[in-house]
Amino acid sequence: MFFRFGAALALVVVIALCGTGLETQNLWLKRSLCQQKYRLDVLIESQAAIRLETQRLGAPAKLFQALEQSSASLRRPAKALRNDRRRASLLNWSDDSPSLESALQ
Amino acid sequence: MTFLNRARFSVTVAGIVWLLLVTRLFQIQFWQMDQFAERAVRQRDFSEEIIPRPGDVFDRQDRLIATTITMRSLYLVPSQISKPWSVAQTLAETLGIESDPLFEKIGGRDDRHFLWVKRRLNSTEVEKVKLLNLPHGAWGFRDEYRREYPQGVVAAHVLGLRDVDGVGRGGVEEGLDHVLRGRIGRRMLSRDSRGRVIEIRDDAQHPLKNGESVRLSLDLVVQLFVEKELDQIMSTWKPESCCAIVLDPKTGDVLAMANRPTFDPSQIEEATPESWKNRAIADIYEPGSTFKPFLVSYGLDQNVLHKDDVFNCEYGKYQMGRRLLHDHHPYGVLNLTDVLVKSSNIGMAKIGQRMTNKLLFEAATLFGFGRKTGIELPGELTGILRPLEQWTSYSTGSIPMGHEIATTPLQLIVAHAALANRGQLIRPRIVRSDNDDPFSAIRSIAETTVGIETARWLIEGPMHEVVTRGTGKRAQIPGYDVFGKTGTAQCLSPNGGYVHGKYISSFVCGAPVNDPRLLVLVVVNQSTLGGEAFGGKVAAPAAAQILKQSLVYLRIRPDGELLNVTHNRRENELD
Repeated sequence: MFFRFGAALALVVVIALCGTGLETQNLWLKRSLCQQKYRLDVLIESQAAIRLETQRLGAPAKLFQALEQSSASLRRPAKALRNDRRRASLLNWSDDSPSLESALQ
Repeated sequence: MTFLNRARFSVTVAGIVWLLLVTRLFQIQFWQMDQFAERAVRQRDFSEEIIPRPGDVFDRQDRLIATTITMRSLYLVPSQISKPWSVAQTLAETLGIESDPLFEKIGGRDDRHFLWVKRRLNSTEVEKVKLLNLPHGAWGFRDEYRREYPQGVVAAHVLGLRDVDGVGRGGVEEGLDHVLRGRIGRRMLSRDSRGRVIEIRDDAQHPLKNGESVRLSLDLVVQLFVEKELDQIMSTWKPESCCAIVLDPKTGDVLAMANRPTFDPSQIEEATPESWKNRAIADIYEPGSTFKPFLVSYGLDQNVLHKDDVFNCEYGKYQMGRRLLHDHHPYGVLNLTDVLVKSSNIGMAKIGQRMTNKLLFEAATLFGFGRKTGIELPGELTGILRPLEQWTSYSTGSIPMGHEIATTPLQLIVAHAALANRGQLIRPRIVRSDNDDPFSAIRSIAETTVGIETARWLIEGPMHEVVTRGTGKRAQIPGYDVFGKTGTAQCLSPNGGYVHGKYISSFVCGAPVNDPRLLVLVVVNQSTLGGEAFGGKVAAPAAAQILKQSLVYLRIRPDGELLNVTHNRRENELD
């Protein structure tokens, strides 16, 4: 009798422990999900700040200042520093544009 | 008691205890389930508002004009602070604020649970505060949004600003607030017995919707050209104010719109009421001679005028009813073209007599005067165009000279755009529509003002000659055929009549003549230096400079023949 009682008790305890284990895993997954959402929020904020700084550094007003102070030249360099295609438009120049000198004379 | 009896007794007691436990379990898990579940939810779950991130604003080339970043704002819990003076002094030294007012706020209401110390701290200040070892539970950070303008102080009146509560004020921020602001969302949070958040769930009934981004028709480079020229006007002529607009006559896109004085959207506390006003849409003035081409074009279309008509300009003095009209120079007989090129008021008054008030009124209405243009900016005025019933014989002479009517600069350039666009009046726009915009078709509907041939003749004839040999010679640009019209009007007095010696100088120009791609209007209000007020001298040079730089930037090819002519002329001058 005691053996059957003990066995039943042990069975109930095992089932309860399995349930606890599942609950623990569930909580762990929820915590991971929340952490990922938090990381996503942090990354979005970081991207906004970096994009802001990028746009600030590439603002046309800054280029104007450099042109007026002659620290930048309107002439294209003989050899380009980069060969890949520019992705962000700067001042809309392309190879078939009329030369600036003739247009401004 | 025998062993058997003791065993039975023990089992009975254990059974009773077990039954009690089961009953209690049954009571908790079943009978009182709802009650406990409700209490658990109340203790565990709470909802929180999520403020939406406002949308970004781009120019037509996708340069970022306005964006939002998160910054931390510091708060205190006064009820948890036992040493308010120490905390106030420490924070004041760290954040560069005054300690006495902060101490009064902390100590004065020690039952308060929330007190702002400083909002939107930079990252350095945040790190310094973290190192201060302030009392636990007595302080914290809250994230708040801050609007940033990476292109600097440019297009301030078009943009407007977003105030500390995230509400758009002025400009596109206000006009498109319903698009940019987004919708507040809610989320459910679960916390454990120690108050730590263990789960975050979005509320499906109140989902967060961040603001949508908006692309403007502005081109920041053109805008910079305009802002620079307006600064030059302010330093050269010291006027009360000035403004400029650059418009694409075919699409109605506003490529630039600027005013002086201006303000810095990130330093709004320093803005004065005068600097806040977008004069391009909220200032009205008598257009003067810039109004003349519309009447002439309508008269031609109605066959009341003909291209070869001549008018006796009475050598500068003409008695029209009770009033004596004057011209700036004494002209004799002028043809229709020269009436516009020389900007003869007497010639225009005679045109007005021939057209009569009815046709003059129709012309003004047709070209959009007296009503808003419909641009997507708040605060636009309709201008003043009195009903025909209130016009008198005096009006017959005044209206053709551009008096007795008040217009905003935007109305004026839009009307000129109709002439440049072969007679089609297009609604101006500051927001570029996407292909998905269901209203894009409505926006692009044009109204016919005058016939194609009439509009072409106006642009290629009189208005081109205004620049080549008339009052707008200072607007000539080598290599480009420019057309334009000068305007010089007296300032209106708030008490009625005009202010003696105060003028509004304006100039509208465009190019190329054979296919107008750009229009520029510059309006200068009451220049005080140099003793000049004529539009051809005050406004024309700036307008021409803006037009020239914009044409080159937009790669609108110069005319090779015109370039050669200019080059040869210079060589001859050097020889």
